[in-house]
Amino acid sequence: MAIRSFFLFILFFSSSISPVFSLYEDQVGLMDWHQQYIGKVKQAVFSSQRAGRKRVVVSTEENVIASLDLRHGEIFWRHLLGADDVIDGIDIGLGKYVITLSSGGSILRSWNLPDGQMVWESSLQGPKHSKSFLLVPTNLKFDKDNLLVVFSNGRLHAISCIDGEVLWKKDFEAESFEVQQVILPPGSDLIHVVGFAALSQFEMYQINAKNGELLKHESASFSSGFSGQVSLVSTETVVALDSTGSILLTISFQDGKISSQQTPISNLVEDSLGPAVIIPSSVSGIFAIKTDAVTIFIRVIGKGNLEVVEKTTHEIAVSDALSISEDQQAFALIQHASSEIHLTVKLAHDWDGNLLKESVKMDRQRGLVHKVFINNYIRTDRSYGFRVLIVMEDHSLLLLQQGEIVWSREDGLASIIDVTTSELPVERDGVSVAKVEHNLFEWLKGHMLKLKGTLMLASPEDMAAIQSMRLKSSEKSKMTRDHNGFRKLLIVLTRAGKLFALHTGDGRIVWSYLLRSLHKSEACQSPIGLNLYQWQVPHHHAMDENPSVLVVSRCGPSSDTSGVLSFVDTYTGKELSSLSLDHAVVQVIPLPYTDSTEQRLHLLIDADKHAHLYPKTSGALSIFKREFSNIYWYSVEDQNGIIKGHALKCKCTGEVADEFCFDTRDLWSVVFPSESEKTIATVTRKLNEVVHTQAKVVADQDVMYKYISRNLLFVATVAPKGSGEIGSVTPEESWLVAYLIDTVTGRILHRVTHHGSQGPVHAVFSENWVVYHYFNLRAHRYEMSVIEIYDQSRADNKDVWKLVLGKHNLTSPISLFSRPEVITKSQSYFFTHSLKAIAVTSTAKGITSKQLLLGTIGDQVLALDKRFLDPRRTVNPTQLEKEEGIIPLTESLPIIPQSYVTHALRVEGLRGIITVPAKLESTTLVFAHGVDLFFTQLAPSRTYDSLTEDFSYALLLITIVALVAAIFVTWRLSERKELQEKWR
Amino acid sequence: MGRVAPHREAPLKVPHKEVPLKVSHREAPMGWKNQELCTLSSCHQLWKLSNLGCYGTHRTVTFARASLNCTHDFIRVWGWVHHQWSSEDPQGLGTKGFALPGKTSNVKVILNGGQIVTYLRPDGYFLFQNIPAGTHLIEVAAIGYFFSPVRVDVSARNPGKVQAALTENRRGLSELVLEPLRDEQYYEIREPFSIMSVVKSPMGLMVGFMLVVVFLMPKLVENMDPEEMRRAQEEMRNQGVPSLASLLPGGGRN
Repeated sequence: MAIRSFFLFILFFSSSISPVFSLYEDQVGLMDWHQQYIGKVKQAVFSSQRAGRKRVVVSTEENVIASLDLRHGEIFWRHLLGADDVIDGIDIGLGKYVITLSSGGSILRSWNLPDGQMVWESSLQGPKHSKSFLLVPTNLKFDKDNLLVVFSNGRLHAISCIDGEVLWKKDFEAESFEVQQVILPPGSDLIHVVGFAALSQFEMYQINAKNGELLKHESASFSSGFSGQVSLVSTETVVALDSTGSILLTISFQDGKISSQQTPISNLVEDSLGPAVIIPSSVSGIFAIKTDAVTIFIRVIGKGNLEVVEKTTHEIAVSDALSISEDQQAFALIQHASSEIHLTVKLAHDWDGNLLKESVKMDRQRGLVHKVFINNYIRTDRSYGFRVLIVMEDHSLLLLQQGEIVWSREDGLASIIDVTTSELPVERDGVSVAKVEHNLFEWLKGHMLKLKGTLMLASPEDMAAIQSMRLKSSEKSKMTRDHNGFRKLLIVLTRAGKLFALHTGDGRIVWSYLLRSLHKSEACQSPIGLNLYQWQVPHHHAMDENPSVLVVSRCGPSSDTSGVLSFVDTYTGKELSSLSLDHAVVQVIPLPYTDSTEQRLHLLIDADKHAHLYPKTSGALSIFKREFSNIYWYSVEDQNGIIKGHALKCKCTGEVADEFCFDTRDLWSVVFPSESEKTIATVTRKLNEVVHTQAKVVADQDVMYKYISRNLLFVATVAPKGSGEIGSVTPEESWLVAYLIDTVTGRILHRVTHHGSQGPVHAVFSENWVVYHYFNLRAHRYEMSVIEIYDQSRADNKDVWKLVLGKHNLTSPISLFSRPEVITKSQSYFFTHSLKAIAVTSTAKGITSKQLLLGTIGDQVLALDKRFLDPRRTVNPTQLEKEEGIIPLTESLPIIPQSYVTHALRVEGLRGIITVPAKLESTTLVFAHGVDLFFTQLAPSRTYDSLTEDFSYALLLITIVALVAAIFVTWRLSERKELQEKWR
Repeated sequence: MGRVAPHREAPLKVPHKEVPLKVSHREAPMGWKNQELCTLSSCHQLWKLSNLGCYGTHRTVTFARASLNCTHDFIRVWGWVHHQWSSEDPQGLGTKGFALPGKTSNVKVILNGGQIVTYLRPDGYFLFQNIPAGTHLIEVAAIGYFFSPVRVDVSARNPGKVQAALTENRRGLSELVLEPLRDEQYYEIREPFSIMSVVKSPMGLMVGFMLVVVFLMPKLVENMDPEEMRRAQEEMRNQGVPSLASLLPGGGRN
């Protein structure tokens, strides 16, 4: 009964119900790390407070507003708004409130600048959708109260800065009126609203800022129409482009009268350039237009006379204007040269003179400068100094001052698309990753420092250096593979198209690489990264090769644009090669085969349903040919509610024919009735999951065989009405159907309907079970259900002999028409929180019991033992069942605070949870990512195969010493006694 | 921490025990009064409109928990999160042990699993605007506290009628005041060092067992009657229990 004893062995490990993951407060940071990010900065406002800490308030594309320390770039406070609550504008009012306009201009909030507490919130409605503007004038005052001017949804509001009260409002209801600018001329009580109507009409409204009264309305028509944005060159002049993009219109509305002048671009620049666009900027007197290759800066002189001041082919970024004195405005300009950037600060009216000219060395992996924000400070000699905040192509944020990078933030990591892992190199002489090994001098210096430390001669800086060295050289952050498999590289792909390698020990960035293949080019207009795959994982015969990852990307948002593959070495962070494909990438199927150099075979399905094999080598092809008939996959068509199964047919025919292209055939399809069911979730097992035991011994010495198939697919559909938000549907007209489908045969193995339930569904599939989370409308609570599927055809094999000789699922006939004998068991429980993500722990051999990792709405990750989701739970388990470890059935799943793996931290904006097995069977590595990153190690059944961190070696030593002493004492005693005996 | 009674926000200086019901008297938050709220002139009217608890005196009208938009299309729901970790707690009740880094500024109130996310004002109020009629779920995310989600029914037929109940224990709320059901301790408490814990540890048990064997066993053997001992030895020999010594080469000689 070897098997049975083995089960008992497992049960022994998994017999405690108490929270398995638990942490003492002083253990925080030993195994885990947490990093906070904000995302790509959209807008930055510098706080102009004289006293106190210098700070900058930013809004980002991840819907974060944050206050950053201008000295170090740390976050003072940060708020993540809802997913639909996109930030339109931010500003600082009265020097102490951060004002944010979000949700398409319909929510205005005010936050306390020092601590980020929300002060008030106003909702702004309006007649129609429009651009939104937030303006904080400094001169408009209503008895001590500052006014905020907001234009949103076709309505102009004046709002009190102190409590968010709407003081007056004015509608712009004209159907076709499209607002382009809202202008507050300094020193007057007027508001100018300018815009276009009916595409060719220029409209100007003059409004009294005190009470919202319409003072003047002028319009003028331009037969050639307008295109794109307008640029404001003074408070009474705007520049626009006509609909062809070749004529510049300078429109001024001095004293309420509209006058205009047309200047063809070809008059200014000799060679024709094709259609241009205006770069939005607020520098007075100067504007910029950009064509495909050239950026042109144009100055406006007097009433509409234009003059080209500079023409450049370099990539360029311009900041908004910063007024440094009554009548002087400065702005920053950044130009790229090969490996550095040139920063110039100029006065608006004086193009040729530079206030500042600096060159800063810039890491090429940061790409181009996307945005510039300028701020000034007064130097000790009372002259102006300038600092600029720049946002790079890789979404990082840098502060430049005095020709140096003061600090930088890797905010690209706030938008991770995909994650994979890579092993570190084996410890050997001369093997290391990137620039970790240091030279002899540094080695000597390190030892000298350590010596100083031991002799108590070290200064505080030295101590800090020693501490950081110790951290670096300590076991957990070494750059080599460890025995337990805790040290790995996390390779992450961000939305900016940059790859980062993070060390699991301390979360530092080992290397980063901005993918060249994801650069904009002629052939590839808007490339986006899609997925990461492990391309080459050398272990047996290709030990000397470095592992590499495959990055699959696509040239545009739609799925039929052509794909791009890049291969990146995970040790060096260099791109090995990249391939521009002539076909699209709709689906990538990593096959379970590797070629002689351990390169994994991948099948790419294109939009025409051809399958392409990669790598394109003859070795791979011969392996593939051998397994030709064993390759099946499925595709889900969300819109039509169809799931199809596919297999390979033959070599490609037609003009695209090459050796590595194959035609496919449809095997089966499952069509869900579109009037009653809409697919909302599909989940399969993880490809690399290991299952240790196929059988499960139940209490009465019975054996149940798990139905373990790689080809099981879980599908959840809901009533089309119920696919919206919670509360949009009544329980009677909503239902949720869960399916288990075999993806080779297309057979539906199980189907269950939950009446009165709706999505969103979060599900995870592992071994022979699936757990899914949904909303129960009747109870108005979230529910989690488990389905376990067992193989009934082998149920007779009750003992070892029968197991060996008896019926096996290999001997049973495999046919499309034979119905697999399976039984399912399921159970449902209430669960308190909404979920954002769900995952399951995975270990090296699959022996350790499993835990579900639930990413809750509060951005925490909760570990829940799978035994709480065991369909065999009953209200009163028998003695036998209790011994087996079955927990009495309760209505809802318990939430034990100690089992939050993120303990008192939040993974703000949580999007995904990834689990990776360590080499040590008991341990799994967990990486949770959203706007923040969090990493920890989990031991779902405690670390039964190694000593825990808090194991007391001292006690062990004391015990041994005590025992040895006892042996000697007793030996002496017995000797003496023996002697006495003999004398007697 | 359960329900704690102090009403920090009470507009009237009513001594604590004279408050007639287990709800707090609160005014509609400042600053919302001009945002198209229907002006409710008397308590009676509010009672009729929303069929909610309305507790006020002739001097102050205190809003209960839902107010309605004048357009009757959309409802706004506002409530109050009872945050005892506020430093202004006059009674100092329940603030012990809540020295959390997170203040009210880090508390999020989430509608329908993320459809709308809002933050708390300094006084603990929150507000959801433009809520269509139907049944909604409000969740509060605050590190260190466990809040039950709240089911909020906004009536379509009878605008302004809002009912709320905690989903965890199905307790109806007469007023949308959200209180944490309990606080959450994320860390194990380290036991202070004690002799018992050392004795109970595997090492301690090992030492203990050894001591027993070394010091008590000989005593036990000594105290046995020599006769009895001989008899026992004889019995063992008769039964032929193969002793380890006899199996060893050379051991058979005895």
